[in-house]
Amino acid sequence: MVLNREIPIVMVLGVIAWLAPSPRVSVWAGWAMVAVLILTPIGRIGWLASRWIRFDRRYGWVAWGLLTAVGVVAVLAALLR
Amino acid sequence: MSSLILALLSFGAAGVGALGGLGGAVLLVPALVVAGMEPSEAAPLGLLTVAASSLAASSTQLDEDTVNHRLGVTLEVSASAGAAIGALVSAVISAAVLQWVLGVAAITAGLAGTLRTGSRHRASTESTAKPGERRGHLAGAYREEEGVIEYEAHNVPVGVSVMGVAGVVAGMTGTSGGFIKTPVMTELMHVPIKVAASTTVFMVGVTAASALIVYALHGRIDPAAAGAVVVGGLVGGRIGAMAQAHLPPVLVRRFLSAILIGIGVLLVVRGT
Repeated sequence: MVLNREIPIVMVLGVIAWLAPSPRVSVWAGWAMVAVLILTPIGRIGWLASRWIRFDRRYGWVAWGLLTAVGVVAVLAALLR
Repeated sequence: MSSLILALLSFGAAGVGALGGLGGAVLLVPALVVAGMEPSEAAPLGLLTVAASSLAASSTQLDEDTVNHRLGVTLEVSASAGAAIGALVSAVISAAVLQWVLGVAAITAGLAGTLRTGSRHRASTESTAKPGERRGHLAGAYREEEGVIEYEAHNVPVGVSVMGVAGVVAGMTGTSGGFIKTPVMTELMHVPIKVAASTTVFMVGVTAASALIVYALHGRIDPAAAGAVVVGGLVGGRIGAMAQAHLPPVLVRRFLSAILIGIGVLLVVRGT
């Protein structure tokens, strides 16, 4: 299971995004931080889905259903831009 | 609004929110709006603090065996879909309506904080149940000083439906929606408060991520402001959590509820 090792990464990227003198660096660090914050919980669901599908199939499918819902959301949001 | 003010507001909201166990976004977003930011700009900043604080709290709760991931994932299917719908809707409705919804959300959070009840579950010294969640069921057990407490979630379809509404509120306003999720789990689904609160912390990270996908793809996140808010929120939340042990919890919760209801009424009045 991925634990909160991501927090130091988020903090460093957040400080760079906030205080970097170069706007370009600030934007890149900010988006990298946002990506970590979005992908970590979704990655956890993916980890649970792949684990449960082997020994707790019912909830494995529920977790895959959640991942599918998030995927549909991403596609819908991209189409409605 | 300058990055320093954003960081300080986030620090204060997360610190005070952690004292009362409510989370920072439910204070931060109304505070940003009262300070003059558009609700649709404040919402993604609130969601970023929700995602960061969910991530920060996760390892402690996993150690305690109080998160029920099966319950969280089941309820998240509707909550995540709702959050994305809320984020999409927030782009097309007026600032006044958003402010009104945010005000009602703050009042609800304040009331939920004062009305929070104790656990109806009793510990058993004879139970042989292993702490953790039960495979194939929305049930489990956890250890308290007095013994092991077993539980099982009831009224799951109703819970799933209400979580969809909580998701819409979270996605639209940028608050975590935890003030709806925890009471629904304890009062409607008969889940012990400790498990409900931990599972909510796990869930709100996923809800926030779903809504943030929409905000990010629509270019509605300011990366520099996001950095300031997340750093301020993480530091404030950490200090608030440490200070929580030294303050009377009921008094702090009532004080926080009074602030939330006050801000909520102000936003409702401004939004109508």
